[in-house]
Amino acid sequence: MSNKYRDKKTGITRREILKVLGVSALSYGFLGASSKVYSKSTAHIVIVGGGIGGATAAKYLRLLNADVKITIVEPKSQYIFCPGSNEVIPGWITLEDLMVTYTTLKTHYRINVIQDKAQSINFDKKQLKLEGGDTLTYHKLIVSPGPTHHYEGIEGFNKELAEGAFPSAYSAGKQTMNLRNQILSMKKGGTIIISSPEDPYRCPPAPYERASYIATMLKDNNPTAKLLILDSKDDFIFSNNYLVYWEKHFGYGKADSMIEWVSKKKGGNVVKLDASIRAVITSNGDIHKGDVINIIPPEKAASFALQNNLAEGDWCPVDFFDFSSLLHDDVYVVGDSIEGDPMPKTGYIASNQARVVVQAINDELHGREVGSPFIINDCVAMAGQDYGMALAETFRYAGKGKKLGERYHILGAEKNKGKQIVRQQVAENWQRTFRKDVFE
Amino acid sequence: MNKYLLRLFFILSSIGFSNSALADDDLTGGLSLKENFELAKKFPMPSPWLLSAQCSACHGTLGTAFNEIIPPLAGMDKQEFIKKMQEYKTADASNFIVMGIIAQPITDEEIEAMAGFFAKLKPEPLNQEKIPRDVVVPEWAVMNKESE
Repeated sequence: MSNKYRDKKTGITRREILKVLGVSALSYGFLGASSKVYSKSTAHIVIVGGGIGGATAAKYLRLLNADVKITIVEPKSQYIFCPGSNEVIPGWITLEDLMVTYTTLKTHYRINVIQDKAQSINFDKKQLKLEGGDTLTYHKLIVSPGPTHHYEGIEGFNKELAEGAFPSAYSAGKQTMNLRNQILSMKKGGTIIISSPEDPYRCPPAPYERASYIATMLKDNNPTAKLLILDSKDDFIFSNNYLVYWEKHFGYGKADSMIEWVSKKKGGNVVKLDASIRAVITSNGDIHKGDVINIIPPEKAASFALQNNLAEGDWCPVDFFDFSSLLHDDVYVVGDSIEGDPMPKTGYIASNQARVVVQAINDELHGREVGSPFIINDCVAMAGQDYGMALAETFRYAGKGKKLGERYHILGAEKNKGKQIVRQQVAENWQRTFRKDVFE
Repeated sequence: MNKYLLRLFFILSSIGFSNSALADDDLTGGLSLKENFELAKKFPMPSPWLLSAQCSACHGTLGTAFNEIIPPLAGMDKQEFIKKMQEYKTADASNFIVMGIIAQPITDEEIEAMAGFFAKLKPEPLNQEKIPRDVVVPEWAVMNKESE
């Protein structure tokens, strides 16, 4: 295609499409027609956020519907895929391996990708205002902005410190490289502290996967160093695998263990950072000094969602039948920003929530009864390049106003070395397949 | 055959297939399987498209990708799909990776719907041409793996 923004069917450009949509939507308003009155060929679905939830929504809506106009609003020109990014810390993969662009979504799936930041929603006019000054008129708005890393949730901590001397590295990017470099250049026999947050937060096993990888790095390069995990929880997902692996490889549970995990009950709950002495302070007043301090902060819904009245408290409430906002019509919220309990905040789940949403929107466009939701989460994690683990969850609709019905099964620690490796290979394979599924 | 398939072949041939997914230290929770099936009956079955799309993250978009060690579902014979999923549902024949635990809460009707959906699709060829890598790698993201 000579012009990658040019619509295959109509031959008009992205800007022209937007213009036409703006006008046609307005004219519906003048005619006093209800918002439901639009044909499937003129509907405009606008998506806030080009991460896993947003990109999946765009691509899968296009798979369902060749005609509908789809626009993603995303400030970045390329995206760093978060699943797998812990592997950048020991250098098993590079950040480049995780980078994707929106080229295929734009050209092959005919998605308008506007590189701008969504600012505010006018719910009455059904308009989304962008920071760059443009206004988009939508029939349906899908909001998938990811979480806010709430650095200030830890006293004395903030974004500037996370981008400087105390990297959180909890969305893949610059901080990930910074954390890696700090670990590599740490003095011999130094101490690394990881503070793991209270629930809910993105990718529950990630802090422990990260701890495992860091301990593997230390074993090779700095064997007298210590890794201290201070936890704001009393247990963690896959502890039935990680603790077994740590015992075997890092002496976990012994006095000279390289790796130590302190539960909330035992005083692991970090509440404060004292940057001047490079120490974290727990709720019982213990002071832990670290040469490298990696605080994974608590989370809440994205500031876009909070500022636009899509949240109640820290998270966005949705109807689990179709992930429509409980607070505003024709707006759907998916991914890390929602109050989704018992669904954990994983990319896998965000993508499957997005599939539920686009099916619901497409059913409505066709005047059909909207199909039941169904969500699978198949979470994989690794302890090292020789050990993988997995769990499976299903989430079924349980009725209006009810949480989804969850069934989960977490595989226990695998003793057979061959199987450990197969599970690790599956985890790695999944990252690549999933990335391709969302962005290619 | 690529290196991953070769590696998988050797690993699988050394450990055999007939192992239970239900190890002693497995953890299950939420609804029991029985409650899960009862809940499934209460509401209309999700569409074959939505059920099948749940597999995309591992098996590629609508089950069409053939990547390394996870096989495609698209194009699979309907009866073969049903047979495999039913085998996964019984503990003693379960696949030790994830399929055993994924298949267990899925109803027979849902399995049949997915089987019908995937049987109508075609898988991608194994060595499909990749899309151009047009990422721009910023300087801060460049790392020298050899430095270790």
